Amino acid sequence: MRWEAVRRRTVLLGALAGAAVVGAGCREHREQGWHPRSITPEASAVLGAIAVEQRLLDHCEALREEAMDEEDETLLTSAADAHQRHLTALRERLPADTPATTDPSGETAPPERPTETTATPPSTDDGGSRSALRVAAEDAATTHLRRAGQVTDPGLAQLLASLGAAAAGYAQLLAEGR
Amino acid sequence: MAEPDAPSLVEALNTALASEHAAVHGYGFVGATAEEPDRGHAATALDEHRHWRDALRDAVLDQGAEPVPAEPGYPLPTDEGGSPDEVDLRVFATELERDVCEAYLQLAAATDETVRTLACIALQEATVRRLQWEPTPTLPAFPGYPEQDQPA
Repeated sequence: MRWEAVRRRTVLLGALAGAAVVGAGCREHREQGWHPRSITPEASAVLGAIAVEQRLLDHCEALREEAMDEEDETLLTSAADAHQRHLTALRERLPADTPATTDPSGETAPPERPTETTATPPSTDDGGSRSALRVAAEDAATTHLRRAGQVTDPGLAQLLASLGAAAAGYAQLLAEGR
Repeated sequence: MAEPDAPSLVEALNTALASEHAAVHGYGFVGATAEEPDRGHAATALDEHRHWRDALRDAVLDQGAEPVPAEPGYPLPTDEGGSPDEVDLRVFATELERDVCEAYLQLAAATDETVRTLACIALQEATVRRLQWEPTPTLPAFPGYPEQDQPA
């Protein structure tokens, strides 16, 4: 069993550095007077996290229908249950007047950086879908971590930190085939 | 979790540092007691925890505060007598990582973005390490939250 914490740390820090460059671009937009429809940064972070968790849930459920063995099904069921709970916890943090959308790419929130794993719908037609889910989980771990650093509400930061850790854990379990 | 009686930044850093001191001590014991491959896993974990211990100590010093020192001793699986077997050692390592996760989740409430990022990365690493000690890994839905304080 290989432990790759140093590699993980390097990847996470690299991703955060990239996000900082993107963030600088967004700041330029704001300085030019462009503003999305009224929404708080906290609600925007929650909506973005909901979109990430919903995609992971959809991916898990699609894969679960084609699970090859009992171990796979157990892992995917556990992951799907966890994502459901994550969604519940996130929705409880949305202010009542937040626009009813879970898509952060529209007018209600800053655009997501598209990635191969988050921009394409889950596919179950080849043996790579499990590894695609693993990559999506790794991506989610980085995304939650980045958002945790951006919000001002400490309780929300903790929730996002925990969701990032859960995503990292599932990515590891998928990588090991456990 | 962060709202009631939230600890100060230095308190949260020192709580995490104390958990890392305990982990360094605990993994030293596991490494000296376990057979391969767990001995190797413990050695790797020991290096990881030393890294975070040193990072936390530096972070406390950066705040102009005094880092909490290591205790002379910490609870070990031998405390109840007898020689711990492989299962005992794995349970012990799992508990070490659980305690570390809880401390880093507290620290993730820090207003300092650098400290918060450190806490998030360390929490992810501890969550992954914890899984590797369990024969049938059971990932909690909300790593770092105590059992009685789950958000959903």
